[in-house]
Amino acid sequence: MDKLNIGQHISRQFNEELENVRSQVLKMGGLVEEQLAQAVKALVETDSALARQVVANDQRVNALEVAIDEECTRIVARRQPAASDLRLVMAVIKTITDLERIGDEAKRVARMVAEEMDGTLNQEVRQELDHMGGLVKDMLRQVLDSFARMDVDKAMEVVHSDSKVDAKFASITRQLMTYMAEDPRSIPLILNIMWATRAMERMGDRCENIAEYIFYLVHGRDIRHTSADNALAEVITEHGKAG
Amino acid sequence: MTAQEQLVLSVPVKVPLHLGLPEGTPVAVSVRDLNLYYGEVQALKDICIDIAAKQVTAFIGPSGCGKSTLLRCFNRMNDLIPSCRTEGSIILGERDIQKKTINVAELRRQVGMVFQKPNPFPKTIYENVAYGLRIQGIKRRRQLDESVEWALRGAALWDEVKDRLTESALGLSGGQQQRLVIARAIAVQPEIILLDEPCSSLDPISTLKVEELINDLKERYSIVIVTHNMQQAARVSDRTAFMYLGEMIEYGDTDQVFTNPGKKRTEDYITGRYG
Repeated sequence: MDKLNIGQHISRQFNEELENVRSQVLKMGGLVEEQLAQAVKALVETDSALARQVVANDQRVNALEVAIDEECTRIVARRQPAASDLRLVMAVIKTITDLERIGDEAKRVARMVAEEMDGTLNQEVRQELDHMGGLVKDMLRQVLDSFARMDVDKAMEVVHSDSKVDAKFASITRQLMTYMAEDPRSIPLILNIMWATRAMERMGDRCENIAEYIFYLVHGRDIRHTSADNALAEVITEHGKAG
Repeated sequence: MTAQEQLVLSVPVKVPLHLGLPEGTPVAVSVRDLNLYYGEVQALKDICIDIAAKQVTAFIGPSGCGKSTLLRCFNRMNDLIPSCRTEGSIILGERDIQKKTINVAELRRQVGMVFQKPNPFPKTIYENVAYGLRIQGIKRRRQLDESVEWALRGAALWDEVKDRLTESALGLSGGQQQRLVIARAIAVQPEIILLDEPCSSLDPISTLKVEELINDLKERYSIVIVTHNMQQAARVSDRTAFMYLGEMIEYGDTDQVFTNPGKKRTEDYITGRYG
């Protein structure tokens, strides 16, 4: 799908450069998705071998970020993009920063996985963590999907679903605090789990950021620090007037 | 009756202000329902635009879209083309400059113009700048000297030419010649300066100097520039008008036009897409 008409430049080379940078972002997104899935799996199943693999793979994400960043700089220098092309390049630069941070958070989750956790984590907590991980994975998948399709409506759903992740984070925190109160010896390990949960919550925020960049890319309006719903309503009214 | 009086006595025309400009912006020129024909061919179609005073306005658009034609309307350069016919009004100050009663020579003093190729007269640097002043009847050497220096300083050329004022202007580089022509234009203290692709025959450094100059000049003058170089329009202008096939497609804040244009045709043009 080519809502921004990337393929319609008079310069075929420019088409290819933009198309290439866009597909690189999706590739990076895919890699981060995989890292996230494996980190959550490693945490829930206390699989430290898998966790080590996640930590090691993080540099692949970092390398992609650097490569895409360089490509964007090249495009700006050589093409001086304007209007939607400029917004695409800006949105890509910001998106990959957030994707890289999501990768870092996945690494953080993986780092918290320790063999001794096995005894601490009861079935209930495992289920909750798995559920939260699932919510974040959904957000990331959806936001990447909306990036690929330039689908603002879907991006706005991602913005809304962040509150579910926040609620889950609050409920897991409450639960873990109860355990800490019951058995103070478990505090160091439970704190690890808490950090991992916090990392997942941050990933949700990052997905929300990316969704906001998609809004900027398509409608040319920065909706960070404003109500997404109001901004969407305004854009719809303006378009209604123009049409 | 002097030329100046003749202008002032022209009938004032009331126009609705701020077409395409934010509320409260002082207006230098108001164009209303302007149609222009070269023989049977219509080159401008119902153009309505307000040019902001003491700002830089860029006209962009593909070749043949009418941007230079519109620019030339502002000092009646199109009068020189026999087949050219116009309808509508162009209000400058409080007068419609389309009217037959307008003193065109005086209008052209008020609305200076610089062309694509530098066109200094085959005279000395000094005489090039003093030319318009002499036509105005200024003869006192001291007054001429002062005005020439003032204009050359204004065009950021004084330091480069102050020791060679009596040499031929044709010995200057292209960039210097273009700035000399700008000095010649500002020497007669116009209100508006029209620049028709002023940098298209200049190298990048000279181009930057002229752009820097445009930025300085806007403190005193209203400037309208026609350019094919979109990055130049983005760099130097406060407001940008995009024209296509004789129509004004979009007119707005330059930042807005280059980051989030309102019309698809503008978007296609500035991003280099097939329209």
